[in-house]
Amino acid sequence: MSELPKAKAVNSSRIFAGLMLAFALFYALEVIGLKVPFAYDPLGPKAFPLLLAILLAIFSLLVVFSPQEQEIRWPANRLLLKSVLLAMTLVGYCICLFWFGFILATIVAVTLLALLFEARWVHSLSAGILSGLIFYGLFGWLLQIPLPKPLW
Amino acid sequence: MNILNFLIQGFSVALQPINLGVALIGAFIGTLAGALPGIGPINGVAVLLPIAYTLNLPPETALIMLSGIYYGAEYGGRISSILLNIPGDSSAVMTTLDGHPLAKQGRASQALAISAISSFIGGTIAVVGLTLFAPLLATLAIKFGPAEYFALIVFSFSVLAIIVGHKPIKTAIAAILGMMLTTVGVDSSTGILRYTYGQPELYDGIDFLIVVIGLFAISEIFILLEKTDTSKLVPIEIKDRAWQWLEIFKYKWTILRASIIGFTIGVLPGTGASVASAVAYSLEKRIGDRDGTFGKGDVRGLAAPEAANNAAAGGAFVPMLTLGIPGSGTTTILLGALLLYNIQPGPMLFSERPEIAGGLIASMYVGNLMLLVLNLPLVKVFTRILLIPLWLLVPGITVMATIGVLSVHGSIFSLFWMLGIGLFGYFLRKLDYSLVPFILGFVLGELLEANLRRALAISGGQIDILFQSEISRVLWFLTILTIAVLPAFQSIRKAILQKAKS
Amino acid sequence: MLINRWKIGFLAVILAALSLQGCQNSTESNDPENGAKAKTERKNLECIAPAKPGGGFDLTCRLVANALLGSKLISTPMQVKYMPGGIGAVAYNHVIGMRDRDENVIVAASTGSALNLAQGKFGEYDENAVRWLAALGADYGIIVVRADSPWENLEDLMRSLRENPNSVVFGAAGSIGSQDWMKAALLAKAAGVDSKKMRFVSYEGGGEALISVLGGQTSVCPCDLSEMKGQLESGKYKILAVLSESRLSGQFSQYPTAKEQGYDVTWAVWRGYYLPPNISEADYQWWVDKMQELVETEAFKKELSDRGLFPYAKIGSEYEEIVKKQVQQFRNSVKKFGLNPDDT
Repeated sequence: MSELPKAKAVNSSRIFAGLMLAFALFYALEVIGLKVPFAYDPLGPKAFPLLLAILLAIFSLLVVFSPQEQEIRWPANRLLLKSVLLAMTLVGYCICLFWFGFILATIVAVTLLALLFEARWVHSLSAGILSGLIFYGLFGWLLQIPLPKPLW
Repeated sequence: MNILNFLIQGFSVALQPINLGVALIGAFIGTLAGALPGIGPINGVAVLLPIAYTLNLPPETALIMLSGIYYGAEYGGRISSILLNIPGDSSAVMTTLDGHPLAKQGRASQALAISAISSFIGGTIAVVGLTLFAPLLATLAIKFGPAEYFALIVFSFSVLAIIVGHKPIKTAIAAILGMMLTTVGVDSSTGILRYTYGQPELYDGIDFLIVVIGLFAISEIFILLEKTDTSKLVPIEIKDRAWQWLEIFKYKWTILRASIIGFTIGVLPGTGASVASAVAYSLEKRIGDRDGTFGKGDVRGLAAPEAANNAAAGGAFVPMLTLGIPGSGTTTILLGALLLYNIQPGPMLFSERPEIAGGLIASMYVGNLMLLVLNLPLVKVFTRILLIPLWLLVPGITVMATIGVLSVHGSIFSLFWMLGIGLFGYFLRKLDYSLVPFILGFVLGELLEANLRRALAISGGQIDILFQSEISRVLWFLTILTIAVLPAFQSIRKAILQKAKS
Repeated sequence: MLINRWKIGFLAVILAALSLQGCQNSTESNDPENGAKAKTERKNLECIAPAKPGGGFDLTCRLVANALLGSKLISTPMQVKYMPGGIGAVAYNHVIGMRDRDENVIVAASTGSALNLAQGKFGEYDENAVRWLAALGADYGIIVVRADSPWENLEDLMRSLRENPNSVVFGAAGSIGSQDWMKAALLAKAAGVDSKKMRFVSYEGGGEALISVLGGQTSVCPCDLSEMKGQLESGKYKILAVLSESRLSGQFSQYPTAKEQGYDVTWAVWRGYYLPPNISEADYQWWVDKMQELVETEAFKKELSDRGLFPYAKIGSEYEEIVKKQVQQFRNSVKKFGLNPDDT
């Protein structure tokens, strides 16, 4: 169902390599500005990051100028929407954990995730409630892992 | 005291019913902890240490239980690697390379059984090595200074090139990105803050656990989501029912080689099981990959890293017991356990507290056997994981991953790091970058920088310190051999074979 | 097999609603009940070890938790929680920012915390941002060399250091500005050598540093006595000097101090605790009283010696003064050693 745009002049591999090139530059600039009072080794804290940045830049350039690869199938249309929803659910889960506590946040998150993966409503909700309780019982209560409690 | 007496005394401790019992409990909990993505041996040991202490278990009993968890987790780590393509902990990363393809081909039971037996052999060889050579190996570990470590890590990187040989540029980029991540935090030599942006959370760098969980578990969720969009929602089949036990003999040399490599590398403090399994895998690939089957479900590519990481787990006990220096993250906590009981590991442990040293070593023989007995019947149970529908599996992975991160860093900040790294991992996978070099870069990057700078600080800037000792010369020689000589040799052999054919 | 449209819409609505709800919640502040619980029996006491399990802070927390329970000063166990990050900075900021009124939590600290505060490594907060409760024990710095080293006493070592600073390689746990580095730098200063000219190698922990002395890669370890405990009888090391004010008791009395060898270098590593800043005076006093009772008990004395620590009880305002004075001293030495990157 996902119709993919035909390979364009610039493919995603090259875009990524371009981003990495920019990152290498940023990464190098960040470390060049460091103030180092003194170091006992001749290299100091700057040499290694600079070396990494140079290597990354070189290899990224190689990718940019290498022959085009097969175009990668990125999520499109409905799948893209679902991927975004998945990411939002995960972010929401992490935030909610600290507001609503582990049990409640897990119930909601598991229900939503199950729905995203095409479960039926009943299944999703029962999976949510069960996993909220079981995971808390197993890890929070039995193994004493400090799981977040509700804020109120 | 000679070895035999020492062992007899050890077994008399290890075979007491209570110690047998806790070894079994530890092995079981360890297997579970290792199998659950995100919950690793460090969590298992860290969580149960206070419990053992509050229960007032005698020190040897507590230590036996905790080390049971430790090597149990090395067994368990392979399960989620094989079945879900998510390593349970860092040392199981290499296991995904051939383990998961095997499961996809419907040979999950075989993969689980072979890896359990390889683990057993690797673990046993390590215990035998520990018994026979501990004092000798301790002197080797002492001779390993920064210069030797640096050479060892360069060698590890040279074998990395073999792992993903056909995409050298992408492998290099992934490894570099992994290394870049290690530079975040306090510089271990000058104390300068690098890439921390005033965030105290970043001072200690990014926790290994967060990186592994994010990179593998979170990115896997996104990959799994794509499956809901295609029509291939059929769970992986389990085709192999009856598996011939004797088949393991086909891989005896693979397992033996990998065990020895694993044990030796495990002995060196700070490198640990992930390096051991990477080196063992690469060696096997170098020796045996004639038809390009590695990475597509070759049993040798599964047996080698599994034997190696269990052997390394045993090897890590050598510096801990003989020198009082932990060889891995988990042995650090075990060391903490000893200190809690006011036992200072070190050269005197074997003569002053033989019941602890001996009991521990003897319990490792027993524990390994227990793990095999425990794991083989469970193969059938574990393969059922493959039958769990995605809508149940994915939330499960998510919650486990979250708990895993929360157990080491109870902050929203670290959870966001997990998600960010996970998303980045997803993009890397989509773009056909392998995650394994990224992880190895992350593991080795810090060691590489720290040891090079240490060596140069010792020599006052003179480069020749890197090539002075015999150990480092041997390692440099091996590096050159791996990069240059072996490939040349192999292409010559290929050419000759082709000539012979035609 | 296809997910239907309204289901996705519903998911989006739920997510949005949840995050809105969350925002509202976060703006509400939770009102504290002050002072009321000060005198009654307390439950849910907690000690935060600002590190991963197994280290010195873990030991510090276990010391107080076990001793309090063992001496029956509390009836329910005190929980030990780990909050690694930034050599204690994360816990420091957490307690000040999130739990500033929580009277049930204490956080482990040490001389290293004071040193980090002096270097501004704990972010915007300084030593006045928390309530310092008590130090319960101490460990002492030692100067260790290999058993077959030509240096027989501190004077030998100092002579070599003076004649050729390059001939002495310090191998220690921690970076420039850490406790071990301070010991080496103070020693160099006492020998009249610029601390920037000495040779110094940073290792991950005291164990690794000791091994490097054994392996001959480095020649001197400015370590702590507790790190050496298991090695004392092994005969592989020599202790040239203990960095305490006067000779220690018991089996350690055989080791001379640096002071009696003519070099005024001391380094005590106290192990103590601090409380959140905005607890009531009554709550602070409750803790002070508990600590004062605790240090007199047999259970505590046993816990202390089991952990290789020496008696060093400084409680309440006396301790607050000591910490603040020490941080100030460290600030001066840090400046003198040229550590602050902003000065260069």
